[in-house]
Amino acid sequence: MALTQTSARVAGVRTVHYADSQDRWLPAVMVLPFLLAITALVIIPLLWGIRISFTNSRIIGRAFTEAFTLANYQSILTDPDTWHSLYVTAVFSLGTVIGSIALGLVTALVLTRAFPGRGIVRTLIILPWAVPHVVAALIWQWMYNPNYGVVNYAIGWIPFVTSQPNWLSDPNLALPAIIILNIWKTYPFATLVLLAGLQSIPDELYEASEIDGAGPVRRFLDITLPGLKHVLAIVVLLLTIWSFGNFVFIFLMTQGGPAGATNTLVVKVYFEAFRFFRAGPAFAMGSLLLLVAVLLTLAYAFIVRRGNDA
Amino acid sequence: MRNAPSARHGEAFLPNLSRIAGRLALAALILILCAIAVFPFYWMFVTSIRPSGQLFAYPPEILPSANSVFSTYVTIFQDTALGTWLWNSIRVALGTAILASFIGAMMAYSLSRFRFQGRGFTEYLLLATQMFPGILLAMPMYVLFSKIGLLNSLPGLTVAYLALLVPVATSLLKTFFDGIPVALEEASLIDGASRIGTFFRITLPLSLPGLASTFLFCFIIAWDEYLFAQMFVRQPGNWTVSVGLASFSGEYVTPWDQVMTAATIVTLPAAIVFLFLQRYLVHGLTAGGVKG
Repeated sequence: MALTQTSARVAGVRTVHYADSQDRWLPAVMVLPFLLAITALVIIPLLWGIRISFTNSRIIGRAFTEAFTLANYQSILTDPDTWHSLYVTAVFSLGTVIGSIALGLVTALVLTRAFPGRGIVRTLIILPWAVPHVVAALIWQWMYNPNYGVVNYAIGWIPFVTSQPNWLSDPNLALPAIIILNIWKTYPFATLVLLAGLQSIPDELYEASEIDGAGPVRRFLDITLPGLKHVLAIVVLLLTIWSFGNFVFIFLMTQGGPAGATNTLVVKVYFEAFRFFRAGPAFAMGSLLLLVAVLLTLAYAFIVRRGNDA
Repeated sequence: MRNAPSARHGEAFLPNLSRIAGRLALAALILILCAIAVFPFYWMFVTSIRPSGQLFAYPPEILPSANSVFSTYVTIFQDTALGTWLWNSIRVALGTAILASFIGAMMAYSLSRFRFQGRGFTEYLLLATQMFPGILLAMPMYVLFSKIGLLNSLPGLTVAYLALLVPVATSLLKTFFDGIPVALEEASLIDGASRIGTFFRITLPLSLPGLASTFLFCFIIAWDEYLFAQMFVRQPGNWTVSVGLASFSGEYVTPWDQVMTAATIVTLPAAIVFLFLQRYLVHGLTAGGVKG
C-alpha cells in the first residue's frame, strides 16, 4: 500500500498518510488539550516548586522574596534529620522490594502448577492490590491494635512469645509493621508480572536440562532465574519507585513517628511544608526528590527498552 | 491467552519427597498464600458485622459472631457523612475519568498514528509523570491553586487529578491504539472516508474495550487517591471517601465496626473493577516490558 507523503508542518507536526485538508490541523488539535493540561498541571507546578526552593519563602501560599539563595539546600544537606529520613526511606523501599518479590515469586511459582481451583486462587491473590490504600491502612491499623488486635493474638500462639508489642508506637517495630503492610499491598502486582515472565520461558529449556540430568534446584537457578532477569529488574524498579513515593501508609499509620522512626523523605517534605510552614526547605528537598525520581524513571525506561529490543 | 504452563517452574520447591507428601505440602502452601491475601479482607468484613459491644474482646473472635448485625450498613449513613463522601467521590472520579480518557485518547491516537517532533520526550514525560511521588506535584500545585482560588472545591480537585490521570490514560490507550492495525484505517481512507470519519467508524469501535478499561481505571485511581484530596479540600462537606475514611482513625476511641463497614462499602467498586481489569493492567503498567 503506497503512501503519499505530505509534510504539513503544523506546530512541528508531520503526518504520513493520505493527503486531505484535515491533515493540516487535525493532529495539532488532537495534541493541544494534552499539551495544555500537562503544561499547566505538571510542568509549571514543577518549575514553580524548583523556583521556590531557591527563595527564602517561609509560609506556603504567602508571597516570597525574589532573592536567589542556596540557603535552603545548605540547611537540608547539613541537617542530620535529612540523612536519617534518607535511611528510613531506603529501608522502607528495600524491605518492600525484598519481601514483595520473595512472596510474589513463591506465589507465582505455585500458580504455574496446575491444581484444581487455580483460577479462584489467582483471583484471591489479586485482592490486596485492589483495595484502596486508605482502607488497607485502616484494616492493618485495626489488626495491629496492641490490646485487641488479631496480630498480637496470632503471635501469642508462637512458643515463648509473651509480650504484646505495641506495633505502631514502638520505634523498633513501627517501620517493619508498615513495610509488612506495603508488602501485602504490592505483592499481587509482583506476582502477576513474575507469572507472566515465568510463562514466557520456553518449555524446551526445561526439557533440555532434564535430559542433561539437572535437578529441580539446578533448573531453577540455571533456567528460571536467568529467564526472569528482565522482569525482575522491572518489578524491582517499580516497587522502589512506588515505595519511595508512598505517603498514605506512613501518614495514616504513624505520621512519621514514633521519634522519626518512619519519617521517610516524602512524609518529611509534607510536614516541613504543612506543619512547620517552612516552604523553602520543603521545596528544596522536593527538588532533590524530583532528581531521584527522574533518575529512577530513566533507569526504568532504559530497562524496558532493552527488554523490548532483546 | 496461553494454555496451562508447565509445572516445572515450581519444582524447586518440592524436593523429591514422596508424591503424596509433595501434594500435601503444595496444598498447605496454597492455603497459606490464600490466607495471606484474603484474611485482612475477611477481618474487615467480620469486624463490620460484629456488635459494637463485642469489638473489644480478648482473645478476638476469629469467626463471625453468632449475633452478627448487618444494621451497621444502614445506620452508617445516618451516623456519618459517608453518603456525602461517596457522592463527592463519585462526582470527582467521574469528571476526572471522562476528561482524562478524552484528552488521553486524542493524545494516544496522535502518538500512535502521527509522526511529530518531540515524540520521544513526550513519551518520557508520560512515564515520568506517572512515576513521580505525588507530593512533588501536590505541593507546588497547592501554592498555585491557592493563588487562583481553586482550593477547597471539588472542581479544583478534579482538575488536580488530571495531572495524575491524563498521563495514565494516554499510556494505556496508546498500547491499545498500537494494537489496532493501521491497514484497516488506510482501507477506509482509500475508500474516500475522511480522517475523522475513519476515526469514528473504524478506530473508535475497535478501541472501545480499551476506552472502557481506561475510564474505569482512572475512576478507581481517583476513588482511591488520598494525598491530593486531603491537601486540597479542607471542609468535611467536600471530603472524598478516602479523606472521610481516614478521619475516623484519629478519633479518641475508633468505632471499628463503623470504620470497617464504611471500608467494605468503599472497597467493593474498586475490587470489582480491578478483578475485571487485572490482566490488562499488568500489561499496561509495565509499558509492554513483559511479553505475556
